[in-house]
Amino acid sequence: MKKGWKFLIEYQSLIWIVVAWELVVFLQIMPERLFPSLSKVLVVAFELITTGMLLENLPITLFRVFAGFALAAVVGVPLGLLMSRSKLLNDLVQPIFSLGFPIPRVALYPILVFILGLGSASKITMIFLECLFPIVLNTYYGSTRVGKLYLWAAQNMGANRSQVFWRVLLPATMPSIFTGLKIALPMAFIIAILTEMIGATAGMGYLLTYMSASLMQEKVLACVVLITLVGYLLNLLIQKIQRKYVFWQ
Amino acid sequence: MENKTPAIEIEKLGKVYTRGKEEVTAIQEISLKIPEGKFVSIVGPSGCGKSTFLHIVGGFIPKSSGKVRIRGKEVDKPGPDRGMMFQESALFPWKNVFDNVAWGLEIQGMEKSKRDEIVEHYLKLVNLWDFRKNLPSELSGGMKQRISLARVLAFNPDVLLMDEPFGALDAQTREKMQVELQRIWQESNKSVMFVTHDIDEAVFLSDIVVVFSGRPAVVKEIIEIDFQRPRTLDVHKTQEFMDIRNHIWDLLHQEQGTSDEEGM
Repeated sequence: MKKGWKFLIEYQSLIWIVVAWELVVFLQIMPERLFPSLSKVLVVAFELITTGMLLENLPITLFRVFAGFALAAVVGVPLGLLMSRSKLLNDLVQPIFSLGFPIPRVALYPILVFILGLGSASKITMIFLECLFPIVLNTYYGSTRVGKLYLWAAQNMGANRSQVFWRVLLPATMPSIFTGLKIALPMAFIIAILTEMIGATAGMGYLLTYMSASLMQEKVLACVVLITLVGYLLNLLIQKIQRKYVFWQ
Repeated sequence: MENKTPAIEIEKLGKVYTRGKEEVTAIQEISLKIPEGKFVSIVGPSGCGKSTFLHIVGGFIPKSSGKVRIRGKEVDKPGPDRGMMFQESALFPWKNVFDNVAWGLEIQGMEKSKRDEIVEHYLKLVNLWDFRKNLPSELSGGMKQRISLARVLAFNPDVLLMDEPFGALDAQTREKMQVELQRIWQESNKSVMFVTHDIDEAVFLSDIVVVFSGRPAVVKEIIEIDFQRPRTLDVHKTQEFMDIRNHIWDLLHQEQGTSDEEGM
């Protein structure tokens, strides 16, 4: 009972949105065709699940998200750590990240499609590029701020360079690494949907565009609701992983 | 005794920083011998470069000139022959107490059963065996420094280097730690180089107190202290203790006087 109340208070802003939404529909401020009631949207969302349309498209999107995200993590974390250790590497790579950061990288997507086609390859590459930035930058700044005493203590105990790197610098940077990963994962999901909306034959973004062609807003909004739900679950997932790996904070 | 190789030998050590275009001499030229098994403190006015000096001996920062020898062997990089204890806890926050103490031994490739035995011995020596499964963040400042001491002793260095290890503790914990350290040091029989700005602490703990001058640092005086061991905190009340204390205070005070004048 108490828990349910707490939950209600925590998510009360959502309730206001729902109430406002239903009010707009009830007072017929906008035509129903453009602004369907939430219950209608939820019914369609449920249909998308039962007819298997969600199951047909969601795994493809998730595959692209995880592939691009994982690739960015595997490349980005060591790169960020190495940049903080090597002035040469930092001088070489830092300008790419400082200059590349404000570029709307999705603008490069048509070029990627031209090279890699409309399938998963171009999308995974796009997600990889997009995720690389927050992961590298957070890892880099985090590891430059690791207390030198940890590194000195490790050297004092006879650790060699690679032991200091993997067994001290990496865990000590873990909190910052997760900051980067937590920014990158929702971005990966957004870019997956966006690139699927631009051109694809499957995936949640494709489903969304396909539905909007029907000109029935409840179908589009049902897709949005499902996408939001999946995005929320992804966020929960990475928080759980973070608690497992950054347990000391 | 005199002819034995000293545990730590410092020969004409100097340190010059470049700050922008300026060259700043932090350490003029220091030569010092620390005999095997002795507890030696270094005191000096704050900012005199005594911590820098210790970090150079530890091999953490490069020296500009001179030599550092540990048991006759020249060193210029950090290594497990010198166990370093810092002012702040350098315990790894992601490892529990046991694994922190075991870390150095694991790195050096010691097998697990032997490692566990040593860790148990030293955690019991510092009376914190019951806390072996806790994370450092769950311990008080004094406990963390005792764990740090256990971690350093566990990999059995030739000498101990201590950089104001109790500097961040409150006065009462500090006195307790000094008594603890004396007990543990007497059991381990290691040579210690201990940096502090606290004169009482230096006199209470040491066989020899080395007084540094203000920047650039040189050795101003070396004072031998021969109260019987184990010393109790009551030694603070004796006339001899106060005489030595006041003498060192005067030495440091002269220093601060001159540097104040420089400032004006």
